[in-house]
Amino acid sequence: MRALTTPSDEELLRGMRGGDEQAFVVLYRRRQGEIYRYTLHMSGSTALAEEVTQEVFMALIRDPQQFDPARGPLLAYLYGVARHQVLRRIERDRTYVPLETEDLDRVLPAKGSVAEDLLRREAVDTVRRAVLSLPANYREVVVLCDLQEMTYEQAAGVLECAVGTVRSRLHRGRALLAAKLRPRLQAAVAVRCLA
Amino acid sequence: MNCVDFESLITDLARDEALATGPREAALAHAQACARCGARLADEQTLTTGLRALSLAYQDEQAPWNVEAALRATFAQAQRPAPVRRRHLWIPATIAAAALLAAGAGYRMTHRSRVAERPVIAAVPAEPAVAGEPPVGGEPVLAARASQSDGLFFPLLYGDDLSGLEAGRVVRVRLPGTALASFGVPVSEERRAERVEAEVLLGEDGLARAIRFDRAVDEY
Repeated sequence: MRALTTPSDEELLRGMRGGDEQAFVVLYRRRQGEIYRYTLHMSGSTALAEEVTQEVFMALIRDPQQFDPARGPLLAYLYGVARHQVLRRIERDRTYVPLETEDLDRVLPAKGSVAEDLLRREAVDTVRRAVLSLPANYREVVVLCDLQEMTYEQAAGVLECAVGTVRSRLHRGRALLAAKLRPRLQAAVAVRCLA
Repeated sequence: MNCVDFESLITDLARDEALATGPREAALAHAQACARCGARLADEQTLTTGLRALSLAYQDEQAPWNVEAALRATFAQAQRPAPVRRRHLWIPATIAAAALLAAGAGYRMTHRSRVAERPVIAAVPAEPAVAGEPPVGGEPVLAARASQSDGLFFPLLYGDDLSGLEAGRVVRVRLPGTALASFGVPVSEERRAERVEAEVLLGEDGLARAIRFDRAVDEY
């Protein structure tokens, strides 16, 4: 059961509409990480993830009435805005520069031997690149279900499609990924660098 | 269970999704009996491991601090009361505007050499921007002084008196061009798609108090 002192997203939005900046800050800090990581996994670009995260919450400030609670929770709405923005930009720009090595150094701090760390980073980078190479409609279900750990129902709410569609796209997307990654991942797992 | 049935369950099986005991056991038995399906399941399970490693590697990634600063500045600006629009006020407004234009033209004729100042409510000089740091725990970098013509900060709250501000922080932010309109800055259509650089002045309480754009507002 949710503690009485923890306001829901929707309650914070109401406070925000009433001009309460603190309500906005709490809502932003609670949800920005998910939106940022979703956009980062979808695009591979930290700059784009930053821009889209800002745009998502900017839209909420400018026009909070756009959120209709009858259509689903606020989080699904925020993901929906982020999805629209990121797909539009991917379509516009087509290619993005993959994350640099420094970024991987930052997100994967050393924790084993040099050889193990190199293999672990290589394995994670290989998976990341393979996800980025998927067609957008498969990539987004893999990102939502496998990287953001959403249920099929939650993903269907974000994508505004049937649960069966999420299932079939996830199945197809993972099959494509498995085919791309088979030789690399089996070698990585063989040296237990993903644990 | 045949290979087609197995394939329909393999994603849930590899992702440890809840499956009824019967189908799960049947699928695992099929994977042991069929070499092809066994290899498929091994691939899918390896993939799950790889995806979880990727998710874990990025689980602490956050938007940088300057995004929050920019949003708080926009939020504070959005709370400013909108100008009241009333019907039938356009006639006296037009007359007043014409009178002001005439007075302005006369003034320009007699004071051509004088440089016009930009209209601001209050002004605070900026210190070097501190990008990517929260406005806590640092040294106060700003002493408020009013009425300078360079480095003008626009108060985000209508009527906010910045001259009483004794300390604060300046953070550098990037805003979408469309945000300029909410600050009352006229922006051309082609500029709307661009990002604009600005500095946001945060008070000691962390609240956004004022904003300054890199370019003069009439350059947008």
